[in-house]
Amino acid sequence: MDLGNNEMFLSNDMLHEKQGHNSLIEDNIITSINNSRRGSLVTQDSEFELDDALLTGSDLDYDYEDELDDMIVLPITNAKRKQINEGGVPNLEYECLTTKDIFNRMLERVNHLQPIFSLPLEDIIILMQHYDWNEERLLEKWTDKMDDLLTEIGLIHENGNLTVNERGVALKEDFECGICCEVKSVEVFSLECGHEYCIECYRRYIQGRLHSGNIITCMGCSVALKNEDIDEIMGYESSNKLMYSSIKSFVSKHHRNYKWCPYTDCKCIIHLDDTSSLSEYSRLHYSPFVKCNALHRFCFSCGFEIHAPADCDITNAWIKKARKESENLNWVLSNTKECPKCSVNIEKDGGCNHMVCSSCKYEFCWICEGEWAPHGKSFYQCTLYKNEDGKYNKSSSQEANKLMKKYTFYYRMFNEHEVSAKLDWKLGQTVGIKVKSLQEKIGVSWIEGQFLAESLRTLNEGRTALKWSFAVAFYSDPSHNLTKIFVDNQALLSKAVEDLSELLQIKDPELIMRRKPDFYNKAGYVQNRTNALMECGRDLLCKGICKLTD
Amino acid sequence: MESRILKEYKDSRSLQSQYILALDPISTDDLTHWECTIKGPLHSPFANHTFKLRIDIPQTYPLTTPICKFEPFAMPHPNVNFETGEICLDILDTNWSPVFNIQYIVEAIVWLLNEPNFKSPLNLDLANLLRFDDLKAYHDLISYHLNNSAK
Repeated sequence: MDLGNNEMFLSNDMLHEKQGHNSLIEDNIITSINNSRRGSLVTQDSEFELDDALLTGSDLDYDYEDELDDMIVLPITNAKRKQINEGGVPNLEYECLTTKDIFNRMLERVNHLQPIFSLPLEDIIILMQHYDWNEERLLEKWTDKMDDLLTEIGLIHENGNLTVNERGVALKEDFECGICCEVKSVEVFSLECGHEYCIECYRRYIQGRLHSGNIITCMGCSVALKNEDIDEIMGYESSNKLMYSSIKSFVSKHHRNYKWCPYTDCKCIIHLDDTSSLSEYSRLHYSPFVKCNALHRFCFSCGFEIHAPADCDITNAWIKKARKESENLNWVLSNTKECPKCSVNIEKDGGCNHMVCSSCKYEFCWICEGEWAPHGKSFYQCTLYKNEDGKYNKSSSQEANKLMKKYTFYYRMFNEHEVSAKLDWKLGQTVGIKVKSLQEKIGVSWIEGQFLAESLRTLNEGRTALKWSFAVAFYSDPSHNLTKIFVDNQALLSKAVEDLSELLQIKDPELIMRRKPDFYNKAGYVQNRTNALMECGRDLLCKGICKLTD
Repeated sequence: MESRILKEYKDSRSLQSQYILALDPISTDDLTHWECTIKGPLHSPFANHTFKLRIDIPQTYPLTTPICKFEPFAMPHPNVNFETGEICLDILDTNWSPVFNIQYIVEAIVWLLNEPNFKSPLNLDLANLLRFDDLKAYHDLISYHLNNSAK
């Protein structure tokens, strides 16, 4: 249970921070929503000017202030965590959110927008959803042509007369549903358009669409179902599913500022407001590592686990190489392509060559992987596309063989540490039990027992660094002196890690307590060696000794 | 689903259409596989030719779209895959709604023969001819293919 307690600790810390900078944080929330919509680098000041411009004249200024104070009750852990890096890179200011948090913020925005639209909240949600929660685009269109917009999105029935039919559920005798063609006495749902279908067909229809994130319309025409309609048909709070999936597509579209935690089943989203510092990180061969509320750490740039001393480019090249070599991933390579923009793997399961990435909505051509828009004129280029793989095959097969051998060696090392890391993870589960038995058998306090958990964490970090150092070593010039130093460093860390790992295997509680100083020494040593290796690796990258060869 | 298909079957018995020559299930025991014969629309390069369509109804019909393709293949059309007979048509994909039925789809395909869309091509050569407004070449290439396959 040590991990659980730990988490408590953290969130307490965050609470303090939150109370400390109360108003500042809330300000940031509003701006962060604004910024995220733009998905680009907008200074906070200019955002506020814009906001004021929108809100003045609507008597909202005062309420707005109030709203900010009220927002503290929101169940969001919105305290910002700071990561301090030595070496002159700017601190990353990010926050960890869930889909629900983001949706709640969107609702806040909808509340603010309501006086501008003078429409029911439900309608504004539909409008926002249609514009991917992009407020500015919506307002632009809204001032342009209000009525067209309402019809297009299905908030007004095309004939314009809203009172012809009532929306809602009604019980009908001997009703023949146009979808299932069964005649029965059932509940029937219809919107203002008057298209009636039995509620069972509607349920099945909606069920299949709740995860798409798109607006659900009447089956017969384009009149939109609002959240209240969906809840009426599907039951209490079903519309939340649709809203969350809509937010998910929002997150995917703003992948520059929002990243899903890559750990399995983790639902955290890291939101980085200001991405301008990321380029600084990559310039200095640092990686922007972040930690979600579930304490998973990953790289914000590439979405992989912590991969220091390797930087994102090396990591990417290494992973791609590993994939290429591995047999079972051949299918992925031969049947899928990466979206040229967001690198999601896409399988073409039919349809034409005009591809729209389901993740970032980028439109491209399947054949040449170029952007779709310019295909207007240069269609023939696509048919001229030739697979260039063939040219590697015959030339210098010896060279290739040598390279393969070198790769296999490094990959084996890399893999070994990955396997060990997994074993360490199992070890971690027993550590919790050990701490407990320390408490029970020898009466050691929980705090005092924490050195075990800390050692384990250090061990993990050391292993991960060691693992990725082999990727760096693979791409480094072996004849260079610094590379040799790097390899020496690897060996030292490797030894340190194994020693600590051995220490953690001890089961006898009394022996553990007796050797407590050893734990501190060894863990401290691993930490020093890890840092040294990371610095050394970064040095290789900065000096260009480790670089990607094409 | 069953009564829906049964109703569509009944409706198809009394179907009268200028372009749909036949719309029948392959076997009356199993109404999930259909065959259809359509006539190329007048004033299109497909006029005076007939084409066969194969329609497979999934279990989840009408919530999901039937699978519909030209069979046998070798159909020269900008939005049809020449090798597989696959059709790129919005209502067969994202714009599907459960109110559409088999007959509606077939009508939409006939309409597609007359109104090809070069913006989502499955046959690049034909789409390009159309894009550059080379209608003569477009017509000629289609006739060439059609007459070839007739032999």
